[in-house]
Order: sequence, then C-alpha cells, then structure tokens
Amino acid sequence: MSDAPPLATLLVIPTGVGCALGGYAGDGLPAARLLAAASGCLITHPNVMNGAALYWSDRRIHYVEGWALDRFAAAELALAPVAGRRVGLLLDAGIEPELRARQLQAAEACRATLGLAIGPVVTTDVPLGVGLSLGPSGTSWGSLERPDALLRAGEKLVKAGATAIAAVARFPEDPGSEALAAYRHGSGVDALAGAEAVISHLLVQHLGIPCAHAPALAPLPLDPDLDPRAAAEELGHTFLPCVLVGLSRAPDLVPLADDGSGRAIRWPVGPSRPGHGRPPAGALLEASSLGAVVAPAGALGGEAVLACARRGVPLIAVAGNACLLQVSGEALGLEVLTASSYAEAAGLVLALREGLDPGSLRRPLQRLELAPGG
Amino acid sequence: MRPSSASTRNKPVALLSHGPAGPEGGIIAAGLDPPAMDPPRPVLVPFCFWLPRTAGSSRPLDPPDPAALRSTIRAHLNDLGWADAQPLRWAITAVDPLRGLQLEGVGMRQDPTAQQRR
Repeated sequence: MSDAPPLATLLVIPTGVGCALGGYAGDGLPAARLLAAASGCLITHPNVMNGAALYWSDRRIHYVEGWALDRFAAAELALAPVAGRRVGLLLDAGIEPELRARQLQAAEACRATLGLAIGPVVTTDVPLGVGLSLGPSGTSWGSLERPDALLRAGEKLVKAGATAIAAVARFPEDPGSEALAAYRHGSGVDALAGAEAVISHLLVQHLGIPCAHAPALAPLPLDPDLDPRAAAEELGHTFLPCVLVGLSRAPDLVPLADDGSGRAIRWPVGPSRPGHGRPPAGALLEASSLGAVVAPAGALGGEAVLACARRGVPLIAVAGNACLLQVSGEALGLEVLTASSYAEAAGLVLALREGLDPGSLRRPLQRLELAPGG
Repeated sequence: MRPSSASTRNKPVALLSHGPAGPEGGIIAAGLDPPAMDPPRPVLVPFCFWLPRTAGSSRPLDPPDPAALRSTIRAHLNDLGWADAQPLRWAITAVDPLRGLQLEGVGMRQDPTAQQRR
C-alpha cells in the first residue's frame, strides 16, 4: 500500500464501554487489519483482537495488554517484538470439570493445529471469585475475591518457564438475563469486560510478561436473531484460541531506564529472570516513535490516549464508533483529527505516513496565518 | 464477551497433580505449593469521584495530565483509608462543566510481601 517507512500507530477501543464497533466479540479486528495495512505497524490490545475462536495473526500488529499499553504510552515501557513465546495456561479452580476439559482441549488444538508452544498448566489453589459490576457511567467494571490466588498461580507459571500467560476464569452467568439478550442482539455493554481487564492488568503489573484473559462460560442455547458482532463467541466451547494466538507473538515488555523521576517500572517477579535483558535499541518500539493514535471520539479519557495527546501524537477520533461515554476531544481540550469511520481513519494514518498534511485533504482549506510579529 | 447478572456458581475442583508429558511432550499440569501462612492479600478497591477541572490542569481547558490524574487517584484512595493503594485501571468517564472530570476505576492495595518475594 505504501513504500514509506511504517508509522507506528496505537489503536485503542476501550473495553466495556459499549462501543458499536469493537464492543463485542473481536469485531474491532477488521478495523485493526485495515489500520495495520495503512500504518505498517499497529499496536493494539486484546479487546480489539480477540474473537473467541476467531483471530487474525499479522506481523504488523503488536498485541499488548491494556495495563502494559498504558505504561507504553506513558513511555515507561518499550516493546520488543519476539519470534514466539511459550504461553502458560492459568485455570481458575472454580471451573467445573467438563468446562475445564474444554479449555485444555482448546489449548491442545492450538498446539497440534497451529504449532503454538503452550504450557505448563496451573490451577489456582482457590476459586478466584469473579464479580461483575457496572460503574456510575454504565461501563463495566469487575473484581476478584482472591487476587492473591491469581498472582500465586501466575508466579508458578513464570517459574515453570512460561513467558506469557493465558488466564481462564469462571465467570458468573445468567442465560436468561436481559443484559445478555441485549448483548446477543447487538445493543448493550459487554458486562464481562471490566473484570477481564482487571484480571489481565493484575497479572501483567505483577509479572511483567504478556497476559490476557478468556472467560469460562457454559454454551448458550441457539439464538436465531444473534447479532453478527456477537457471533464469534458462539462458535465453540471456549474463548481461548484467540488469546493463545495473540500471546504467542506478543512483544516483550521492557522497562525503560529510570529518568530520575523514580517512576521506572520494576517487576516484583517477572523480568528478573535470566535472559530478559534489554534488547538492542533498534529492536524496541517506544512511545516516542508513535506517529498516530486512533480512538473512539467519545472515549478519549483513557490513560494511553491522554498520554499520547500530551506528547503531541496526532489523535484521530473516530466519530462513527459511538459508545456510552461522551468524553470527547472538545470536552477535554484535546486537538483531534476527526474521522467519520475507521476507513477514513486509515486514510488519515496513511496520509501521515506519507508526510501529507491531513488538513490539505479537507475543504475549506484555510489560508496561512502570519505568526505574531511575522 | 457476554454480559451476565447472576452470582457465580463456582465450585472448587481438585487440583491437577503433576503428570508426565505425553508422547509429544504434552501440556503438563503443574501442581501448586500450599498457600503461605496467611500472607497479606492484595485488595481491589473500586472508586468513582469528580475532580474539579482545575485540579488536574493549570487552566480549565488544558488537556488532562494522566500522571497528575494518577496522583490524584492515589490521594483519593489514601483518603478512603487505602494508604498504599495504586490505580490499577481507570478512565475519565464523564466531563461536566460544573463538576469537572469523573474518574472511575479500580485501585489495588499493594501486596507488602511483593518485594520480599523477588
């Protein structure tokens, strides 16, 4: 598409805020693929890429969990692409035996059919006790009764050689709930997403390696009116394959040197392991090299977007991706390039990559202004 | 992912024991050591509060500084009695001309044993 050098681009579609695009079962993936083609280098998070049994692997797309993505955007972490990694499997002791066997078979399938390096498997010593909740804004949040059990199991996996962790927790469910029906019919918030993010944030913050989460849920009865955006979650017995594929080539998380502010990240457990030294400078992706950030126009209040905007990274706000929130560039005092859709956003990214002023593509074209004293 | 509203019906199941690798070097279920003697547990703390707009920026319409907002959240959690808590996941979820910025999220009280375990 372009022979210009890649333009590192950050794509954020926040989890659990009801995004019309990307708020369901990996339905942000087509937008990610297009932006990867336009930019040549896309950094995004599991909520965008995970479609349960469906996934897409693209060397231009870097799969970075949300907590690490925030730290990357804040220039506290760099990303180091890897050829592959061993994904340990962390299972909640609260998963029933049959559902647990389904998770293990999904992992075995990814080994046998995709050639992924998976294992070992660790089960938490007590059920994690996932709780779901909605915040005052209507966005989904969640909690764990036993985060200590999650972190202990994660430590065990790291000690056993895992360089990434796929966590599977038993989530509460109510097949007859109105919220579930609304979600399956394409209106409503992903109520599981908040708790999923808490689980993966806890693991990454504690261990310093890529981690992502798939919920364990019983299959649902057939719904002939299922919305296409939710359909990927009804193809199989687990949501695990996309997580295993995404993690299998997720970049290393490299703490950047302490700048004297005392804010340099030090992992309690993870990167002290042998061989986890800092890669050569040219091999690292750093926030300072970001050329664009793309986010829904009403959801610009996340840490990664704010950090990029503060650094002057061009912020492309996609007005066509409505969500529950109305935290816009105007409300926050941020300068944005507005795109009506991800197709237009991809065009803007390509323009930036080619060194074109996006303003030259819009009409009216304002006259040059003389600077004061000019 | 799917929404849900019911309480969990989790039931603990027996832990997998150590197992030999299969012919292909199959997935090995690693056993877990018994939990330590009642170590301090990390605790998750949900929060939601309004921050007057000028508190996170020098002028009312200055873009918010995420580092300053993290400090503000830490201070809020401290006021709630969680002296060592850090924001784990947060966002500005509403902006109001009178009340300012709504900050919503989950904090975590750091595990005091984390450094000792290194």
